[in-house]
This record gives sequence, C-alpha cells and structure tokens, in this order.
Amino acid sequence: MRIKEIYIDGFGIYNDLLIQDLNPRLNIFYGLNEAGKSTLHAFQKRVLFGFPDKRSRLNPYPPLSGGRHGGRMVLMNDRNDAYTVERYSEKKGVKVVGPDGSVLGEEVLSKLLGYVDESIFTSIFAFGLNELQDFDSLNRDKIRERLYSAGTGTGAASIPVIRDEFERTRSELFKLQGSKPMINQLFREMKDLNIRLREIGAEENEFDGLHNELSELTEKISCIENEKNGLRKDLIHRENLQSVWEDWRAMVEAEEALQKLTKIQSFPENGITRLDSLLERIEEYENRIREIRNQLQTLKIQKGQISIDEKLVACRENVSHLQKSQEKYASAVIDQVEVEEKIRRERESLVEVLHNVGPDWNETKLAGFDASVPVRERIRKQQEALIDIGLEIRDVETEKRGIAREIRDEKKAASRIEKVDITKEGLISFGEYRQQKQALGQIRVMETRIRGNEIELRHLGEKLEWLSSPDFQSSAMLPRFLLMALVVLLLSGSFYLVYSLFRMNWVAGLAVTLVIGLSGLVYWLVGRKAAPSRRRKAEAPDARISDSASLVGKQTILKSELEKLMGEILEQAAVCGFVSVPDALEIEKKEQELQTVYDLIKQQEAYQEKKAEISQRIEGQSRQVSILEGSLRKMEEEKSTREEEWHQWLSEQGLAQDLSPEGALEVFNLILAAREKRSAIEEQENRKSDMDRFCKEFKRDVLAVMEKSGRGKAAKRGDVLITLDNMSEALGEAQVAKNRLQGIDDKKIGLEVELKNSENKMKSVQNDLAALIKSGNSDSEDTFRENENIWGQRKGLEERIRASKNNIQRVSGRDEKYAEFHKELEASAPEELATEIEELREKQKELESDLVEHREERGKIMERIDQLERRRESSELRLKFNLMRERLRERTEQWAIYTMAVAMMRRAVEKYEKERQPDVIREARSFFSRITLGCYDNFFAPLGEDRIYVESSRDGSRKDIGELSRGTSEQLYFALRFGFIKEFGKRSESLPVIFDDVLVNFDPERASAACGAIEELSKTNQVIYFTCHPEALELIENLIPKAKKLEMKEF
Amino acid sequence: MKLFSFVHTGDFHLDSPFKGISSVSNEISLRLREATFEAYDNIIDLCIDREVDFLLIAGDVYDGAEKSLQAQLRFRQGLLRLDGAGVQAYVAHGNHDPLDLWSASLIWPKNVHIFQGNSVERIVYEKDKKAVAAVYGRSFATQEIRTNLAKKFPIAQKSDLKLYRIGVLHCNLGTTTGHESYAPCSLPDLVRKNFCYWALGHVHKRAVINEENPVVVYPGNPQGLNPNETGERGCYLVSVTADHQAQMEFVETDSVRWFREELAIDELSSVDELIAAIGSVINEVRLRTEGRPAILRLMLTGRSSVHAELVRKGVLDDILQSAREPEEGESQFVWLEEIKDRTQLPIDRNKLLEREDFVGDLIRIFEEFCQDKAVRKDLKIDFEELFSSPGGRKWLNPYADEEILELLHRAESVCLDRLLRE
Repeated sequence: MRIKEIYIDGFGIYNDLLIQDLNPRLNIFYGLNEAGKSTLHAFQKRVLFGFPDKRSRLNPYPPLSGGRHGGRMVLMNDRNDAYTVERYSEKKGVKVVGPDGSVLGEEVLSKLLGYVDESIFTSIFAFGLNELQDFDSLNRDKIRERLYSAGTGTGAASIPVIRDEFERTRSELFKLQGSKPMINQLFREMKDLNIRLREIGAEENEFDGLHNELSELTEKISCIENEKNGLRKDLIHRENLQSVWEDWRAMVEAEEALQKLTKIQSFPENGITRLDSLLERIEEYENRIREIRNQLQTLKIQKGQISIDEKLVACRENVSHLQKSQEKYASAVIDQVEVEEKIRRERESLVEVLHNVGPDWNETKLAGFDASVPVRERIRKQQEALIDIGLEIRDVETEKRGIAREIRDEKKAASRIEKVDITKEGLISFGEYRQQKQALGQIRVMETRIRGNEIELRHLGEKLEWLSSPDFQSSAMLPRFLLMALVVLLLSGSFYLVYSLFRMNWVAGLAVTLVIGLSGLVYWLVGRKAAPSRRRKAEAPDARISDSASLVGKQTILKSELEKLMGEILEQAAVCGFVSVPDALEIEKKEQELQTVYDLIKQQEAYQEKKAEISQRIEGQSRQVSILEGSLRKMEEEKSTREEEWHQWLSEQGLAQDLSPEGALEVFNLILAAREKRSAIEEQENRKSDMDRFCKEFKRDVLAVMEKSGRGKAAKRGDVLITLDNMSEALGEAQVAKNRLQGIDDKKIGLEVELKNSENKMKSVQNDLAALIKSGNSDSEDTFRENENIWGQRKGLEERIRASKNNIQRVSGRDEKYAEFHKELEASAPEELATEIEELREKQKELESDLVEHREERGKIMERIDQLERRRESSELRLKFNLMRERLRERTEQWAIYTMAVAMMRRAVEKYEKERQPDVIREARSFFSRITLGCYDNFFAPLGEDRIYVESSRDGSRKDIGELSRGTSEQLYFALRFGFIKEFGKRSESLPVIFDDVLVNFDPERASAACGAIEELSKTNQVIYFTCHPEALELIENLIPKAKKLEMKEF
Repeated sequence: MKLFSFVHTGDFHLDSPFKGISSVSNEISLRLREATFEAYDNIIDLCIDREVDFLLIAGDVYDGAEKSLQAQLRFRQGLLRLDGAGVQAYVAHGNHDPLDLWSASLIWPKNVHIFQGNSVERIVYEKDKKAVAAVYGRSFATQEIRTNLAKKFPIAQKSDLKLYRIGVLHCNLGTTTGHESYAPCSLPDLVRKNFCYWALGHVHKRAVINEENPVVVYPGNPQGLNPNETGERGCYLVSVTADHQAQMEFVETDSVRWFREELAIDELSSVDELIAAIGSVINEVRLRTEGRPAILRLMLTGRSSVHAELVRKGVLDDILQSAREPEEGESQFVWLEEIKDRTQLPIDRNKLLEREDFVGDLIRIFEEFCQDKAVRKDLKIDFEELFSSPGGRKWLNPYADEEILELLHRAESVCLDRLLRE
C-alpha cells in the first residue's frame, strides 16, 4: 500500500491543502522547525487510525486556519487500485471509497493496513528519533510477539506467553518454598493426617495393655470387696449389741422389781373397771325403781278425776249417721222454698201458652190432642199440595197473559203495514214499470250509437276539410313554442355549467345541466307524441285524393243510420213519457224515478207477506189460550176440594177454621212447648215431695236419738240442727275422756311391768358383784382394789421384761444365739462398744474410698476400651488419606506434565534461537551489517527476553545493547524495524514507512549506508521522510535522485 | 452325593480404605468404608444360608499395616455368628495380618481355629462324629516371609487318604504379577503334597490354577479395593462328594463394584454430546452392576474438536460434577470417580514432524525423548525439585520409565493444544 494523495481540509495550521502524486517510492518533506512536519505526520496517522479521544493528552491539532477538522488520503494497493480514505473528527468512523466509487467499511482499511494497529504502525512503520532511542517501544508485548513469533509456525500463539502460562500452572501445582500451591497443601494435609493416623494406631496398641490393666484391677476390687464384707459383718454385730443395750438394762431392772412384789395367783381381768361398772349399774336400777313407783301413784289420782256419759256414748253410731245427713237436711230446707217458686212460675207460663193455642184450651185438652208426627206430616203434605196447585194456577195464568200480549203486539204490527199501502196509492203498476225500464235501456243504447255516428260524421267532415287545406305540411314540425322552450332550456343549462365551472362547483353545474337537458328531452318526446297524426300525414301525402272519395261515401251511410236511430228512439221515449228524444240528464232522472217505483213495489210485496204471517200466528195463539183456560178451571176445582178437606180436619181437631196448614203447624209447636212445660212442673213437684219426706225423717231420727240418750226434753224445744250439734259436741267430749282413761290404764300396766324387770336385774347385778369380789381373792370391795394394784405392777414389769427380750432376740436370734448374745451383753460395756464401732466405721470408710477409686479406674479403662472398639475415625481418616494420596498422584502427574512441557519448550526455543532465528532478525541482521559498514554482522534476540546481544564481526565478542554507542544502538533498532518491515511485507500488504529525521545521530558514513538501506526499502515500501536538516536532504537527494522533494514552506 | 461343603475365601482386607480415588461425597465415602465389611458379612450370610460345614480363610483378613481394631472386632462378630450356626472356621493368616499383628486381647469363639505360624497344623473335621476332612494350614508368623511355606506342608499319609485333604495357605504361586512375592511356591510344590484342594490366598484376581488333583484355587478378594480390581468379586462355595469330587460355585459378594471404561470422542462434536455419551456409559454400567453401587473410572480417547474444549481449565471438572450430581443419594449409585482425558487434537502428528518451524522442532524433541530411554533419564533431573522435596520423598514414588513415557505423550498434547490453538 502507498499514499498517492493527501488532502487536508482543516488540521493544525493547514487548511484546504492538497498534496498530489506522491512518489510511490521515496518522498522527502523538507521544512524548518514549525513548518508543519509533525502536523502532516500526525494527519497521516489520524486519517489511517482515527482521531484520539477528547480526553487524550495527544495534540488534537484543531483547524487553526479554518476548514473542517480532518481530510482524506488516496491510498493505492499493490494492484494499483485507488481507495479514498476520509476521516473527520466530528464524524465517527471512517469513510472508505473503493476504486469503483463504492463506499466500503473500516475492514477494507484494516486489510490495506495489513491488520497492524496504531501502536505497531507508530513503533515500526512511522517513527521518529524518540521511538528509535527507546528500545521499549520495540519491546511492547504485541510488537514483540509479532516480531519474534514470525517464523515459529505457531500462528497467533506466543511462545514466551505459553511458556509463562506453563510455568504459572507448574507453580500453582508446586513450589519448593511455597505453601499455597496444591501439592504443597496436600503434603501438609497428608502430614497432619498421618500424624493423626499414627496417634490412632498407637491408641489401638493400647487396647491390649488396657485389657491387662482391667483384669488386674478387677482382681483388686474383688479383694477389697471381700475385706469390706467381713468388716461390715463385725460392725453390724457390734452395732446390734449397742442397739439392744437399753433393752438389756431395762430387763434386768424389771426382773429385780418383780422379785419384791407379793405373788398373786390370779386376778380378774379389768377387775376394778368391772367392779365400778357393777356398782354403777346397781345404783341406776335403784333410782329407776323409785321413779316408777311415783308415777303409778300419780296415775291412780288422775283416773279418779275422770267421768263419762255412757248413754250418749252408746248412741255414737246414730249421732254419726245423723251428722252425715246434717248437710243434706240444711240444703233441703233451703231448696224447698226455691222449688215451690219454680213450680208457680212454670204454671203461669203454661197457662199463657195454652191461651195462645186457643181460648178454650186447658191441660186436659192438651193431654188429649194428637200431636204425633204422622199428623204433622199430613198437615205438611196438605200445605205443600195447596201451594203446588196455587203455583200451577199462577203459571198458567202468566202464560195466558203472555200469549194475550203477543196477540196484541201482532195485531199492532198488522195495523202498521196497512198504513204503508195507503200512502203509495197513485203510482204506476209493475207492468208499466217494466215497459218503461226496457224502453229506457234501449234509449240508452241507441243514444250511444247516435253519438258515435255523430262523432264519426264530424271526423269525416274534418278530414275532408283538412284534405282540402294547403298548409297541412307545416303542422308536421314541432310546435314553435316547444322548440323555443327547448332552446331556452339548453342555453340556460350551458350557462349554468360555465358559471359553476367558474365557481369551481362543476358537480352542481353538471347536475343542473343534466336535469335541464333531460327536461328538454322529455319536452321534445311529449311534443313528438302529441303530433303523431300529423306526422303520419306528413309521411303519406300521396294517398290524400283517394281517401276523400271514400270518406264522402262513408258519411252518407252514417247519416241514414242516424236518422233511423232517431225514429226508434222517439218511439221508446214516448213509452217513457218523453215528448222528444231525452237528453242524458232526463234519462238519468227517469232512471231514478223508475228505481223509486221499483223499491216501493218490492216493499209492498214484503208487507203483504208479513201481514199474512201475523194473522196466522194470532190464530195459533188464540187456540193456545183456550187450552190454558180449560186446565185452569180444573186446577181451581182441585184447590177448592183440598180446602174443604182442610177445614173439615180443623173442625175435627177443634182448631180455628181460618187456620192455614202453616198456622196449624205453628199451633203444633205451641202445643209441644206446653207439653214440655207440663212435664217440668211435674218433675219439680216430685222433687219437692222428696225433700219434704227427707226433712220429716231427719227430724224424727234426731228426736229418737235424743230420746235414747236421755235428752228428750231438750230436743223438743229447739231447732233440730242445733240440738244435733249440741249432742255431737257432748259426744265428742265423752269420747275424749274415755280415751284418756284408757291411756292411763295402759301406762299403769307398762310401769308395773318395768318395775318388775328392774327389780330382777338389780338382783342379778348384785350377784355378779359378789362373784367378782370373790374372784379377786377378796372379801370386800377395798381388798379387791388393793389386790388389783399389786397385780397391775407385776404385769407391767413382766411386760417390760418380755418386750426387752423380744427386742434383743430380734437382733440376736433365739435360743442358743440369744443365750450367747446374752452372755456377750453381760460381758460388755457400752463405752467400749461405741469405741469399737467407731474404729470399724473408720476402717470401712477407708475400704469404701479405695473401692470407689478402683472402680472409677476400671470404668475409665472400660470406657477407653469401648471407645477404641467404637472408633470409626481411623477408617474415615485412612480413606481420606487415600483420597489425598490419589489427588497428590494426579497433581504430581499434572506437575510432571507441565515440567516436561516447559523443559521441551526450553529445548525447542534454544534450538530455534540458535538455528531458526526468525526471518525478522535475519532481515534486520543484513540491514544492521550494512548500516554499520560490516562492523557488526550478527545479533541474537533470545525468545521472550528483553535483551538483544550483538556479535562483533571482528572478534566475535557479544555485546549487550547497553554496551553499544548511542548511534550504534539506534542503528540496531533502525535495522530491527527494517527487518520487521521487510518480513511483514512478505506476509501481507507492504505499508508506507514514515521516518522523522532518524539519521541525525548517524555519522556521515553510516548515514550514507542507512540511506542506501532506505533506498532499498523504498523498492518494496513507499518511504516518506521528514527532515529539517538540509544536509540530510542533500544526502538523500544525492543518493536517491528519484526521490520527490516537497518543500513544506510551499504549503 | 454331597459329603460336606465349605466356603473358600480370603483377602478381605477388612476396613481397608479404597485406593486410587481422589474425591467422593460424604455419603458415598461412608458406603466405601463399609464395603469390605459388607462383603465379609455377605460371606458369613452365605455360610449360614447354605449350611456349609466350614469356612476357609486364606489370609489377609485385614490390612495389618492399619492395625484396625474395628476390622478385628467386626471379624470376630462374623465368626461369632458362624459359631451360633455351628459352622467351623479355619484361618491361615497372610502377610497383611501376620500373627504378630493380632490383638492378644480378643477372645475367639470356640468354632474358630487359627493356624500357627511356626508349623503346619492338621485339623480333622468330623461330620456326624465321622472324620470327613483333614485341613492343613499355616499362618504367617510375621509379615516378611519370603520362604516357600508350601514346602513345609507334609505329604498326606496313607491314613489320611480316606479324608478330603485341604491345604490352606497364603502364598504367591508361580510368577503372579502385581503381587509381592510372599511365601513363593510353584504348582509342583503343591501337587507333590497329595492334597485334594489347595485353598490359597494373596492374589486378588480369582483364578482356578489347577482344576483337579489337586484343585488349586485363588478365590480373589471378595471386594474390589481399587480401580484396578474391576468386575465381580466373591468367594468359592465348594461341595465335596463322597468320592471326593469338588463341585465349585463362584458366589459374588462385593458390595461396591469397580468399572473402567473407555469412551472415544472421535464421533463427538460438542461437550454436550460428550456429557450425553458419559450418561450412556453410566447407565450401561448401572445395568451391569446387578443392583449394587459402582465406581467408574472413565478414560476419554480419540481425536476430535471436543479435545480443545476439554483442555480448557475447569471444563473436565464441570463434566465430572454434572455426572456425579444425579448419583448423590442414590442407593445404586455409579460414582464417576475420575475422567482421564487422553484425547488429542484432530491433527496429523506425522505432518507436524515434517514442519520446519518451532512446532516441528518441538515435536521432534518430544519424539526423540519418546524413542530414547537414555535421554528420558535426563528428565528425572527436572523432577528432582518435587520428588526430592521432604513431601516428595515421603509421599511420592519416583516414576517408572513407562510412566514417564506416558506423561511425555500427555505433555506433548498439552504443548500442541496451546501452540496450535486457533
């Protein structure tokens, strides 16, 4: 790629600057300081790689002389296709226009630039003195990779980077002094785990030792337990002796006291208690006997004070009976008055009812009257028969009256018909009517024919007249006014259309014009229709002469016909009463008259028919009336017969003759009511007689009882009820006194029995007392009491001895053991025992403590054994350890792999460096040798190192770059860039190389040599050389005459 | 007609931790710790269920080095169960559980006979008060017995010929590889003794060395203990007829089974496909485990673009995790303990060898090291840093040449992965 043209729109000091036709090989831009070399240099880079970010510190080169900030360059590729690359700062991106004028993307520019980025381009292809003096600018990773990996065959991969990666991976796996790498960590963890495993292993060794210890300890514990048991036995024995000591002493004392007391063989149990009890009972009995006797005396006195009316008491049953009827009697006395009053009222009522029946009616008649149900039924039937006959008579009469009314109505109707006939007298007969009607019809027909003939005659006349007229043709045209109207319509339509077009309302205009046009058309059509005959005539003018001859003939025939008809019509008119031929109005009038006559005739016929019908009906009705009258008579007869029968029956019954069956039934009801009242009176009378009888009997009974009880006199004097009451009271008192006396007797008997019992019991107790005293070896109560005291003391001592012995035996056992124990007690003293016990207890405590200690120890051992037996940690840890070991194996393999990879890479790099330095270096070497005029013909750039070693061609010595002079080192870097540029050009697009006064530090010879190299470079790459040094310009111009020189001051 | 029957087993390595796995979940760790015990219990169950007459244990009951008390206690528990069922047990100890490592405090049930370590013992087994078998045996007195113990066994006497003669010994028969040569012996040594059945122990892979006169059998270990001990593991149930014919039945007893599978990635084009393929392998393994849990080591081989994904950091771990997750909490888990990535980039190595650039140089250097054993030794210097460190000396064994060769291939693959990455 090369630059053909540069156009700066606005950039730094430049505005609208066009540099055309740059040399494809070498271009020298010469200008003094401030001439704008750097601006131009920067412009080229900016157009190719873009403007820096606004935040960048780089000089933005604003358009100081105006114009848009930016511009374009025309680039030519190796095939000489021109691409315009345009870039402006205000626009993002670049515009690339292809050789065919198409706008292309940034990727085309990247391709043109051989995919180098700005940093590579600046360092390698466009550099100044600063870049040349700075090895770092050549040593940046990207450049180095491009520089040294060229020729390794590893594509994009960088060997140093890969080697670093491998080294890093290795270090991540293991570092000799590290702790974080995985293998180091595993070593550490495995060590810890191993220690723990060893500990566990040691613990498991412990297992057997623990078992031995356990058996020893178990033996020891068993010995101590035996000793402790012996000690415990001894201690218990002594404690037993000590515990019964008090009992022992009490027993000895009691035995001594017993010896001193009088001996008594026996003594009744609870002697004193029993003695006291017996004495107490004796006293109780004595008191009771005394009390009973006093009570008997008192009863005797009470009995003497009571007296009883025995007679009255004997009448107790009778009095009681009377008392029961007492209430009945009292009410009967009161009821008697009420019943009498009731009877009186009923009688009055009965008399009244009988009077209502009839004035001569009394109770006897009432009793004899037959008021039975059959009689009543008969009356009811009689009543119904009479009613039925009455109703039938009434119905017949009603019917008869109805028919008479109908006859009257019919007669009235017949009289109305006759009146109509009379008013229509003087009219024509039906025959006349028919004649006139027929004549009138014929007149009508003939009249029409006459009129038709007349019209035809007139037409014939007209035709003949028209055929004879000269201007018949003009009448074939439309009437002139029609034509005029049509023209006016069309004209006005056109006007409106034009007017509406002017007003831009052509639709309305068109519509109106259309309407007017249509109207015109209709008008014209109507006109055409109105004159068909005329047209026809116009169409046939040649037939005119022959027509008029035939028309005259036709006219004559018609006239004769007309006359004949006129004669006929006059005949018919005379029939109808017309003197001349009637006109249409007269005919119509006559027609109406005839219609009226016809209607009247029809009406009269209807009247006649109806009249006959009515008289026929009246006849039928009169017959019916006579039949009805016959049956009415029969009914009246039957009715009077029945009435006679009735009256006869009434007289038989002694009832009033004017009584209707209905009234008779009412009398029956009264009689029944009277009879009921009569029965009620009888009933009350019976009741009253019953009460009277009861009162008498009651009084008699009371008097009888009084008599019996010896109180007859008193009874006669007073009211029977009071008497009875007094007697009842006296009887009650007597009864009470009797009961009391009975109670005293009963009590007396009871007391007498009790007295006897008490006396017997007292005797028995006294006997018991005597026996008790005797059983206590005593003769008196006092000695008995003395003996009881001695006996009690003895018993107490004996009990104490027995209890103590029991207590001792409970501890010692019986028989021999007791005897032995007894002896031991005799031989021992309490103080000694206490001391011995204390000593034994101390010893026991000691043994106990030993035992606890040993048992604890044994427990611990057993727990430990159990722990060891249960321990699962070991297998878990061993598995963990194995897992780690496997991980270690894997990691170690990884490490070994990377170690070998690094080693192999190292070997390959050595080989490469020695035998296959990249073409870049080789190219650079030849440039370097040439520039240094053969002083140095070899240098090495170890892969991945920041150093370059230069080999002297004179003595083969190697120099580090720092050992070279400034000029030589610049020449080396200059050569390295040449090498890269050349090598790069082999693989992709060769790029233009921009030098900014790079030969300044070169001596003239080496500068010349460098110029030679530049010249050679310009064969493959376009070179743009900026310089402000006239000598440099001269040197280049001399050496490379084909170079294009551009004076900056001209821009 | 069956005269009597016995179970021949050994190499329980009770409470021995599984080797060769680098990570397990807590739950699975528990299952693995119990695995040897469960296998042992299965054998005890077998003896009781099938009503055998006696149990022969040919050494390595537990890992002596661990001296696990648990192992001894659990062993005793099993023997007590046998005692309860009237089954005799004859135990000859081996190099992992020599007599001097046994705990003295444990009291064995009366049905147990432990062979002495200083001489061969002869025990006559009586069935229904009639002697039917003579069991000869000898234990390892100490671990380091490199002498031929088989030679110490007596030749069966005439008086013994009526009995079924069994020799119980923990030994290394012939040149059995993969096992240390404790008590080495040869088949003729055994044949010469005129026994009917040699119940051997020591070799973990089951093998019937001689089918008759005498029957010589390694029953293998009843539970696989590391990734190399794949497939079914168990013991032999032997029924002896009246005419001394042995009918042998192998009974599986392992509670967890090891599997090693290979998966070629040549046909795969993405990690997702690889995960699915791994899922299929796991399911196939599950079908083959017959209800028991399994531990699977998977080796990925072949060349495909998936390789580039696999070498990226963390990718393999993620795949492993995704395969393990569904297995957690499963009673019949298939635990993918490791994925060994032996895949390579889809490149032609021969063409690389021809290249005249850095990559060509590198591959040629690798090739040189692969070809030349003497040059390979130089690499040990590079390993010194780690292997001579205190941890390395203690926990790492120097690589054997074949291991270095394998690592070299992997190192080459690592380099190429990185250098040729797009």
